[in-house]
Amino acid sequence: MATIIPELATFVKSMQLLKCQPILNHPGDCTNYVSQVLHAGGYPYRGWNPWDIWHWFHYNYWYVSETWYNTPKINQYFSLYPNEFEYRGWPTQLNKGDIFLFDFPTRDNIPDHAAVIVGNGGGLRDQHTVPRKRVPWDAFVPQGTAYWSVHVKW
Amino acid sequence: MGKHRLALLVGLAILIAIGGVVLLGGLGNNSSTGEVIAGGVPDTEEAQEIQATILQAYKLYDIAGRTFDASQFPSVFVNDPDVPLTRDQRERLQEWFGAVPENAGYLTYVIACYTDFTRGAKLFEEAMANARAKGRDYLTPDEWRRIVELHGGRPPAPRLQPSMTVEDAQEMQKTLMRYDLIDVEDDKARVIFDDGATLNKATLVRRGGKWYIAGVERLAVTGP
Repeated sequence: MATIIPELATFVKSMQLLKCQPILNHPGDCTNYVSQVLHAGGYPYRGWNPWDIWHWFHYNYWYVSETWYNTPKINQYFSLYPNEFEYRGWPTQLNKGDIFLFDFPTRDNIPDHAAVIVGNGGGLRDQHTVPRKRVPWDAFVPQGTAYWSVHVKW
Repeated sequence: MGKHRLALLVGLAILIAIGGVVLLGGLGNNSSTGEVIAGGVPDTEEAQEIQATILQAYKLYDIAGRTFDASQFPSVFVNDPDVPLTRDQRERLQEWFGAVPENAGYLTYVIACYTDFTRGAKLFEEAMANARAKGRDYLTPDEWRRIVELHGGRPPAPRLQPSMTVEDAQEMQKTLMRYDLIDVEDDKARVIFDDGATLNKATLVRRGGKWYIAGVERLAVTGP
Protein backbone atom coordinates (compact mmCIF):
# COMPACT_ATOMS: atom_id res chain seq x y z
CA MET A 1 0.00 0.00 0.00
CA ALA A 2 1.58 3.26 -1.08
CA THR A 3 0.45 6.85 -1.07
CA ILE A 4 0.21 8.84 -4.27
CA ILE A 5 3.67 10.21 -5.06
CA PRO A 6 4.98 9.43 -1.57
CA GLU A 7 8.24 11.29 -2.06
CA LEU A 8 6.41 14.49 -2.91
CA ALA A 9 4.09 14.09 0.04
CA THR A 10 7.05 13.58 2.32
CA PHE A 11 8.77 16.60 0.87
CA VAL A 12 5.77 18.87 1.28
CA LYS A 13 5.18 17.73 4.82
CA SER A 14 8.85 18.24 5.57
CA MET A 15 8.48 21.84 4.50
CA GLN A 16 5.39 22.26 6.63
CA LEU A 17 7.04 20.80 9.68
CA LEU A 18 9.97 23.13 9.46
CA LYS A 19 7.70 26.16 9.35
CA CYS A 20 6.42 25.44 12.84
CA GLN A 21 7.73 24.07 16.08
CA PRO A 22 8.07 20.31 16.16
CA ILE A 23 4.84 18.61 17.04
CA LEU A 24 6.76 16.32 19.34
CA ASN A 25 10.10 17.09 20.81
CA HIS A 26 12.24 14.24 22.01
CA PRO A 27 15.84 14.54 23.14
CA GLY A 28 17.95 14.46 20.01
CA ASP A 29 15.10 15.60 17.88
CA CYS A 30 16.66 14.75 14.51
CA THR A 31 15.34 11.21 14.28
CA ASN A 32 11.98 12.19 15.71
CA TYR A 33 11.77 14.72 12.89
CA VAL A 34 12.75 12.14 10.27
CA SER A 35 10.12 9.76 11.66
CA GLN A 36 7.46 12.45 11.52
CA VAL A 37 8.34 13.20 7.91
CA LEU A 38 8.24 9.51 7.05
CA HIS A 39 4.87 9.06 8.72
CA ALA A 40 3.50 12.27 7.19
CA GLY A 41 4.51 10.85 3.81
CA GLY A 42 2.20 7.92 4.43
CA TYR A 43 4.47 5.32 6.02
CA PRO A 44 2.33 3.60 8.67
CA TYR A 45 3.09 2.75 12.28
CA ARG A 46 4.15 -0.81 12.88
CA GLY A 47 3.78 -2.86 16.05
CA TRP A 48 3.33 -2.03 19.71
CA ASN A 49 6.55 -2.88 21.60
CA PRO A 50 8.61 0.28 22.33
CA TRP A 51 11.86 -1.67 22.71
CA ASP A 52 11.53 -4.00 19.73
CA ILE A 53 13.58 -2.85 16.73
CA TRP A 54 11.05 -4.50 14.41
CA HIS A 55 8.43 -2.00 15.61
CA TRP A 56 8.09 1.69 14.76
CA PHE A 57 5.31 3.93 16.06
CA HIS A 58 4.33 7.06 17.96
CA TYR A 59 0.82 6.57 19.34
CA ASN A 60 1.36 9.44 21.78
CA TYR A 61 4.24 11.20 23.52
CA TRP A 62 4.57 8.49 26.16
CA TYR A 63 3.85 5.50 23.96
CA VAL A 64 6.55 5.68 21.35
CA SER A 65 9.05 3.15 20.02
CA GLU A 66 12.79 3.63 20.42
CA THR A 67 13.07 3.24 16.66
CA TRP A 68 11.08 6.46 16.30
CA TYR A 69 13.59 8.78 17.98
CA ASN A 70 16.85 6.87 18.42
CA THR A 71 19.18 7.15 15.42
CA PRO A 72 21.00 3.80 15.70
CA LYS A 73 17.68 2.05 16.32
CA ILE A 74 15.98 3.55 13.28
CA ASN A 75 18.96 2.48 11.21
CA GLN A 76 18.48 -1.06 12.46
CA TYR A 77 14.78 -0.80 11.74
CA PHE A 78 15.40 0.32 8.15
CA SER A 79 17.83 -2.51 7.60
CA LEU A 80 15.25 -5.07 8.75
CA TYR A 81 12.79 -4.09 6.03
CA PRO A 82 14.71 -4.09 2.73
CA ASN A 83 11.44 -4.33 0.82
CA GLU A 84 10.61 -0.87 2.14
CA PHE A 85 14.03 0.78 2.48
CA GLU A 86 16.95 0.48 0.08
CA TYR A 87 20.47 1.40 1.20
CA ARG A 88 22.43 3.24 -1.45
CA GLY A 89 26.07 4.16 -1.79
CA TRP A 90 26.03 7.91 -1.13
CA PRO A 91 23.53 10.67 -0.31
CA THR A 92 23.78 12.09 -3.84
CA GLN A 93 22.00 8.92 -5.00
CA LEU A 94 18.92 9.82 -2.98
CA ASN A 95 15.71 11.58 -3.95
CA LYS A 96 13.29 13.91 -2.22
CA GLY A 97 11.88 12.40 0.93
CA ASP A 98 14.74 9.92 1.33
CA ILE A 99 16.69 9.76 4.56
CA PHE A 100 20.34 9.72 5.43
CA LEU A 101 22.18 9.10 8.65
CA PHE A 102 25.55 10.50 9.69
CA ASP A 103 28.43 8.93 11.58
CA PHE A 104 30.61 11.87 12.58
CA PRO A 105 34.26 11.65 13.45
CA THR A 106 35.39 10.44 15.85
CA ARG A 107 33.71 7.51 14.21
CA ASP A 108 32.20 4.55 15.96
CA ASN A 109 30.29 3.01 13.02
CA ILE A 110 27.02 3.96 14.66
CA PRO A 111 24.89 6.80 13.30
CA ASP A 112 24.79 10.03 15.30
CA HIS A 113 22.37 12.13 13.32
CA ALA A 114 19.61 11.92 10.74
CA ALA A 115 18.23 14.22 8.05
CA VAL A 116 15.82 14.24 5.12
CA ILE A 117 16.73 14.90 1.51
CA VAL A 118 14.58 17.62 0.01
CA GLY A 119 16.15 17.92 -3.42
CA ASN A 120 16.68 15.32 -6.11
CA GLY A 121 20.19 14.02 -6.51
CA GLY A 122 20.86 14.46 -2.82
CA GLY A 123 21.08 18.21 -3.23
CA LEU A 124 19.54 19.67 -0.10
CA ARG A 125 18.63 18.55 3.38
CA ASP A 126 16.16 19.45 6.10
CA GLN A 127 16.76 18.50 9.72
CA HIS A 128 16.13 19.24 13.34
CA THR A 129 18.72 19.71 16.08
CA VAL A 130 20.08 21.98 14.86
CA PRO A 131 17.18 23.07 12.64
CA ARG A 132 18.21 23.50 9.03
CA LYS A 133 16.03 24.06 6.03
CA ARG A 134 17.14 23.39 2.47
CA VAL A 135 20.87 23.55 3.10
CA PRO A 136 23.30 21.62 0.90
CA TRP A 137 23.19 18.05 2.09
CA ASP A 138 26.80 18.11 3.29
CA ALA A 139 26.91 21.68 4.64
CA PHE A 140 28.71 22.11 7.97
CA VAL A 141 29.49 18.39 8.10
CA PRO A 142 32.94 17.49 9.44
CA GLN A 143 35.54 15.94 7.19
CA GLY A 144 35.55 12.15 7.33
CA THR A 145 31.86 11.73 8.13
CA ALA A 146 30.29 8.48 6.91
CA TYR A 147 26.69 8.05 5.83
CA TRP A 148 23.94 5.53 5.49
CA SER A 149 21.83 6.61 2.52
CA VAL A 150 18.32 5.20 2.71
CA HIS A 151 15.93 5.33 -0.21
CA VAL A 152 12.32 5.04 0.92
CA LYS A 153 10.70 2.52 -1.40
CA TRP A 154 7.43 2.18 0.43
CA MET B 1 21.06 65.11 50.54
CA GLY B 2 20.97 65.47 46.75
CA LYS B 3 24.73 66.14 46.59
CA HIS B 4 25.44 63.10 48.75
CA ARG B 5 23.31 60.88 46.52
CA LEU B 6 25.11 62.22 43.44
CA ALA B 7 28.52 61.58 45.01
CA LEU B 8 27.42 58.06 45.93
CA LEU B 9 26.31 57.35 42.36
CA VAL B 10 29.53 58.73 40.91
CA GLY B 11 31.53 56.61 43.35
CA LEU B 12 29.58 53.51 42.41
CA ALA B 13 30.10 54.19 38.72
CA ILE B 14 33.85 54.52 39.25
CA LEU B 15 33.95 51.27 41.23
CA ILE B 16 31.99 49.43 38.52
CA ALA B 17 34.31 50.79 35.83
CA ILE B 18 37.41 49.71 37.77
CA GLY B 19 35.85 46.29 38.38
CA GLY B 20 35.11 45.92 34.68
CA VAL B 21 38.67 46.77 33.70
CA VAL B 22 40.04 44.27 36.23
CA LEU B 23 37.62 41.57 35.04
CA LEU B 24 38.45 42.07 31.38
CA GLY B 25 42.14 42.06 32.16
CA GLY B 26 41.67 38.79 34.03
CA LEU B 27 39.86 37.19 31.13
CA GLY B 28 42.52 38.27 28.71
CA ASN B 29 45.46 37.09 30.76
CA ASN B 30 44.67 33.93 32.57
CA SER B 31 47.86 31.95 32.70
CA SER B 32 50.71 31.89 35.09
CA THR B 33 53.20 32.63 32.32
CA GLY B 34 51.26 35.71 31.28
CA GLU B 35 50.41 34.45 27.76
CA VAL B 36 47.47 36.15 26.10
CA ILE B 37 44.57 33.81 25.73
CA ALA B 38 41.26 33.87 23.90
CA GLY B 39 38.59 31.61 25.30
CA GLY B 40 41.03 29.29 27.09
CA VAL B 41 43.34 28.78 24.11
CA PRO B 42 46.91 29.95 24.68
CA ASP B 43 48.57 31.76 21.83
CA THR B 44 51.64 29.56 21.83
CA GLU B 45 53.51 27.45 19.36
CA GLU B 46 52.61 24.25 21.18
CA ALA B 47 48.90 25.15 21.12
CA GLN B 48 49.20 25.60 17.36
CA GLU B 49 50.94 22.24 17.07
CA ILE B 50 48.14 20.63 19.04
CA GLN B 51 45.51 22.20 16.79
CA ALA B 52 47.41 21.04 13.71
CA THR B 53 47.52 17.49 15.10
CA ILE B 54 43.78 17.45 15.69
CA LEU B 55 43.10 18.86 12.25
CA GLN B 56 45.39 16.26 10.71
CA ALA B 57 43.30 13.56 12.40
CA TYR B 58 40.29 14.66 10.35
CA LYS B 59 42.34 14.40 7.20
CA LEU B 60 43.31 10.84 8.10
CA TYR B 61 39.71 9.93 8.97
CA ASP B 62 38.77 11.17 5.51
CA ILE B 63 41.57 9.30 3.73
CA ALA B 64 40.82 6.05 5.57
CA GLY B 65 37.12 6.43 4.80
CA ARG B 66 37.82 6.89 1.09
CA THR B 67 40.69 4.47 0.57
CA PHE B 68 40.48 2.02 3.53
CA ASP B 69 44.08 2.96 4.23
CA ALA B 70 44.57 3.44 7.97
CA SER B 71 48.35 3.11 7.80
CA GLN B 72 48.93 6.78 8.68
CA PHE B 73 47.01 6.61 11.95
CA PRO B 74 50.15 5.97 14.05
CA SER B 75 51.47 9.35 12.90
CA VAL B 76 48.64 11.07 14.80
CA PHE B 77 47.21 8.63 17.35
CA VAL B 78 48.90 6.73 20.13
CA ASN B 79 48.14 4.21 22.85
CA ASP B 80 48.89 5.66 26.26
CA PRO B 81 48.37 3.63 29.43
CA ASP B 82 47.47 6.79 31.33
CA VAL B 83 44.61 7.53 28.94
CA PRO B 84 42.17 4.63 29.09
CA LEU B 85 39.42 4.07 26.57
CA THR B 86 35.93 5.11 27.53
CA ARG B 87 33.39 2.46 28.42
CA ASP B 88 31.64 3.02 25.08
CA GLN B 89 34.88 2.60 23.19
CA ARG B 90 35.63 -0.64 25.01
CA GLU B 91 32.14 -1.87 24.21
CA ARG B 92 32.64 -1.08 20.53
CA LEU B 93 35.91 -3.02 20.47
CA GLN B 94 34.16 -5.93 22.11
CA GLU B 95 31.38 -5.76 19.55
CA TRP B 96 33.68 -5.51 16.53
CA PHE B 97 36.22 -8.13 17.47
CA GLY B 98 34.79 -10.08 20.35
CA ALA B 99 37.46 -8.90 22.78
CA VAL B 100 39.29 -5.84 24.03
CA PRO B 101 43.01 -6.33 23.38
CA GLU B 102 45.30 -5.93 26.34
CA ASN B 103 46.82 -2.44 26.54
CA ALA B 104 44.33 -1.19 23.97
CA GLY B 105 44.39 2.55 23.74
CA TYR B 106 43.11 5.12 21.34
CA LEU B 107 45.32 4.10 18.43
CA THR B 108 44.03 0.56 18.75
CA TYR B 109 40.49 1.91 18.86
CA VAL B 110 40.67 4.02 15.69
CA ILE B 111 42.40 1.27 13.74
CA ALA B 112 39.76 -1.22 14.90
CA CYS B 113 37.00 1.23 14.01
CA TYR B 114 38.25 1.59 10.45
CA THR B 115 38.93 -2.11 10.13
CA ASP B 116 35.32 -2.77 11.00
CA PHE B 117 34.15 0.00 8.69
CA THR B 118 36.28 -1.36 5.84
CA ARG B 119 34.89 -4.84 6.35
CA GLY B 120 31.33 -3.56 6.05
CA ALA B 121 32.02 -1.19 3.16
CA LYS B 122 33.73 -3.93 1.17
CA LEU B 123 30.78 -6.25 1.73
CA PHE B 124 28.55 -3.51 0.37
CA GLU B 125 30.79 -2.89 -2.64
CA GLU B 126 31.14 -6.56 -3.49
CA ALA B 127 27.40 -7.05 -3.30
CA MET B 128 26.84 -3.99 -5.50
CA ALA B 129 29.41 -5.24 -8.02
CA ASN B 130 27.59 -8.58 -8.20
CA ALA B 131 24.29 -6.79 -8.64
CA ARG B 132 25.69 -4.66 -11.45
CA ALA B 133 27.06 -7.76 -13.14
CA LYS B 134 23.46 -8.93 -13.18
CA GLY B 135 22.29 -5.65 -14.69
CA ARG B 136 21.00 -4.05 -11.50
CA ASP B 137 22.14 -0.92 -9.67
CA TYR B 138 20.51 -1.93 -6.40
CA LEU B 139 20.61 -4.82 -3.97
CA THR B 140 17.73 -7.21 -3.62
CA PRO B 141 16.32 -7.61 -0.10
CA ASP B 142 18.02 -11.00 0.17
CA GLU B 143 21.40 -9.59 -0.89
CA TRP B 144 21.05 -6.83 1.67
CA ARG B 145 20.08 -9.24 4.43
CA ARG B 146 23.11 -11.36 3.63
CA ILE B 147 25.63 -8.53 4.00
CA VAL B 148 23.98 -7.31 7.19
CA GLU B 149 24.25 -10.83 8.58
CA LEU B 150 27.91 -11.05 7.54
CA HIS B 151 28.49 -7.71 9.26
CA GLY B 152 27.28 -8.92 12.62
CA GLY B 153 23.68 -7.83 12.15
CA ARG B 154 24.67 -4.19 11.62
CA PRO B 155 23.93 -2.27 8.42
CA PRO B 156 27.31 -1.44 6.87
CA ALA B 157 28.13 2.14 5.87
CA PRO B 158 29.66 2.47 2.40
CA ARG B 159 33.00 3.95 1.46
CA LEU B 160 33.26 7.74 1.59
CA GLN B 161 32.80 9.25 -1.87
CA PRO B 162 32.79 13.04 -1.41
CA SER B 163 33.09 15.19 -4.50
CA MET B 164 35.48 17.45 -2.59
CA THR B 165 39.18 16.56 -2.56
CA VAL B 166 40.84 15.66 0.73
CA GLU B 167 42.75 18.94 0.64
CA ASP B 168 39.64 21.04 -0.01
CA ALA B 169 37.77 19.14 2.71
CA GLN B 170 40.64 19.91 5.07
CA GLU B 171 40.39 23.61 4.27
CA MET B 172 36.67 23.45 4.99
CA GLN B 173 37.32 21.58 8.23
CA LYS B 174 39.63 24.39 9.36
CA THR B 175 36.68 26.76 9.21
CA LEU B 176 34.48 24.41 11.23
CA MET B 177 36.93 23.88 14.09
CA ARG B 178 36.42 25.79 17.32
CA TYR B 179 38.76 25.33 20.26
CA ASP B 180 37.29 26.10 23.66
CA LEU B 181 40.22 24.99 25.79
CA ILE B 182 43.83 23.94 25.36
CA ASP B 183 45.39 23.25 28.70
CA VAL B 184 49.01 22.10 28.50
CA GLU B 185 50.82 20.64 31.45
CA ASP B 186 54.30 19.33 30.68
CA ASP B 187 53.88 16.68 27.99
CA LYS B 188 50.15 16.31 28.30
CA ALA B 189 47.37 18.50 26.95
CA ARG B 190 43.68 18.59 27.61
CA VAL B 191 41.68 20.03 24.74
CA ILE B 192 38.01 20.80 24.32
CA PHE B 193 36.97 21.46 20.76
CA ASP B 194 33.98 21.48 18.46
CA ASP B 195 34.47 20.10 14.96
CA GLY B 196 31.27 21.54 13.53
CA ALA B 197 29.07 18.64 14.59
CA THR B 198 30.37 17.34 17.91
CA LEU B 199 31.90 18.75 21.07
CA ASN B 200 34.85 16.64 22.19
CA LYS B 201 37.37 16.33 24.96
CA ALA B 202 40.75 15.17 23.72
CA THR B 203 43.90 14.20 25.54
CA LEU B 204 47.17 14.64 23.71
CA VAL B 205 50.60 13.51 24.80
CA ARG B 206 53.99 14.73 23.60
CA ARG B 207 56.50 12.11 22.58
CA GLY B 208 59.84 12.97 21.07
CA GLY B 209 58.76 16.57 20.69
CA LYS B 210 55.62 15.66 18.71
CA TRP B 211 52.02 15.73 19.87
CA TYR B 212 49.80 12.66 19.49
CA ILE B 213 46.12 12.13 20.25
CA ALA B 214 45.85 9.62 23.08
CA GLY B 215 42.12 9.84 23.64
CA VAL B 216 38.96 11.53 22.45
CA GLU B 217 35.70 11.49 24.32
CA ARG B 218 32.61 12.94 22.73
CA LEU B 219 30.75 15.32 25.02
CA ALA B 220 27.80 16.22 22.81
CA VAL B 221 26.45 16.32 19.28
CA THR B 222 26.18 20.03 18.51
CA GLY B 223 25.31 20.16 14.83
CA PRO B 224 25.96 20.10 11.95
